[in-house]
Amino acid sequence: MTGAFIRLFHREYSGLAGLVLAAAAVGVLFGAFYSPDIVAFFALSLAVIFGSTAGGFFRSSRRLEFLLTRNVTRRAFFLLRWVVGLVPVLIAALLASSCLVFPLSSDLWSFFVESGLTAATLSGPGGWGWLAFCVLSSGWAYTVTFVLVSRTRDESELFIALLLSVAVCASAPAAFWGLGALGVSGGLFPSDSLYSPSSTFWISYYIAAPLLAAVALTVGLRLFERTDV
Amino acid sequence: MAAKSAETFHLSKSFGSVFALRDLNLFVKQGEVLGLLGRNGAGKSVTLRILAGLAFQSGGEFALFGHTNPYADPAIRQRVAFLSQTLDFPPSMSASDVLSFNAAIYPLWDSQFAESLARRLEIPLDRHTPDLSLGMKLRLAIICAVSARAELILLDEPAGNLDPLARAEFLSILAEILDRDGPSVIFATHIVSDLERVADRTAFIADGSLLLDIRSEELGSRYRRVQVVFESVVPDSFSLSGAMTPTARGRVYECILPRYSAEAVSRECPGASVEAFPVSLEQVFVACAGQGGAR
Repeated sequence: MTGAFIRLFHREYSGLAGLVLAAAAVGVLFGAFYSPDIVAFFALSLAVIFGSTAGGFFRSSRRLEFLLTRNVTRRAFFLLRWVVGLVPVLIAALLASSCLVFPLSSDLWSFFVESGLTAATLSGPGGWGWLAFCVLSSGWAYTVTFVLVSRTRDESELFIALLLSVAVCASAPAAFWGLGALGVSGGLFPSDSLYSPSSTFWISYYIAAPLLAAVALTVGLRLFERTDV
Repeated sequence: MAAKSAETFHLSKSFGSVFALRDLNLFVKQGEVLGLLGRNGAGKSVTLRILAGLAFQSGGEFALFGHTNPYADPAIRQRVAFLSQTLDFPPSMSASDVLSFNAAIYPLWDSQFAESLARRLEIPLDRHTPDLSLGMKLRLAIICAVSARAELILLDEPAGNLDPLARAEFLSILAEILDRDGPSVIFATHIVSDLERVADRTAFIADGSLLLDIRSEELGSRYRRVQVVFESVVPDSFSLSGAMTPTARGRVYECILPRYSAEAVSRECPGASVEAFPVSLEQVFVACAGQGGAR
């Protein structure tokens, strides 16, 4: 049963997933991801795209009617759809942010030309910290978008849900940043911990992001399990 | 006594301040075909959607195969099939993919039967579902509903958009399934003649409430169309007690009477000639709908 649904969802995503993975691979090879903020922007953007694609499926009540009257529980249906969409998001985010740790593009181009490319040369812990930030934030953004968009019924609601999801996605790191700034001004942390992605302060965010995503997913699932189709 | 495949207990459903169902008590026994009749918006579809797990009741409860929270148990889902004329398929699937998908998720899926039905109903299996006509989609949905060997089949006006030939084909497939597997069926439709062919029992719903629940063989014994012919014009104040949809034209008074008794009618109109005729399900439906609308 599970396999049939995974194959169905995979088939719906495969075109988009292939495109995104190709874009990530090409970006890495050509050194497009030359700074952490570009990687973070790429990862969050594709998380929102995938989240809205996966969640948008729910808006077609006629198709839902067919699928939810098959031999599947609503819980399994919702979670399978979330997982199948999450996989390409995480792979693409991981691929794009890998250049923060392994400077593939500059190494590659130096084989052919005298390249001045010095992209993605963060220190080891800093690179890994940014990688965790991008991958975990994209997972959080994907989940929030998936949940919000899955509640929409028409195009206008979808548009509002997308705006809201961008705001909510940004809220977790922004809230952490705000808390950190308060902590620094209160003398709880040294100010450099706020600017170092591998500091204990940001490591606590890397733990919080999946927990927040799990809470959002649980709320979304509860609502979906009680929604009329 | 046969067990009940589906039963509702004081089921109600509201959308804001609008009630779609009120205190509905229905059941269908194992192997029985229950027809649901009612006007548009009477609550037939809502009832079936609640039983199919697509909508949730506002009050009361329902049981499938004796389980009051049936869809918490994944094993119950595979025993129920649902078919409505509004369902659609994922656009990435061809008709053949739809059948393979069902084969993969239903342990009792009858592939041979599904394929033979697809040939019989002339479904182009290689065509993607968005390219199928409405009638073709419906035929494909019919195959999905009847090939899973479900024990309870919920049909929400499935034949409404089919042409007469396809509708006749659908009814013959349903009859085959009833003979072969003996599932319970709840069949909501406007097409009364379809129910006359297959229903063991019919429930009339109006304004979300049950007006009448009657077995097909009881219809003739309980209801009669009564014609009273007076010597002069029908008196203004005349009405038979319990009369449904009464009409008076000149000397002739007509109505549908539940619990008809020749002596009781003759007592109410001495001197007039009284004749009683059998009624069709459609006449009872129209009478009940008229009564329901007048409530």
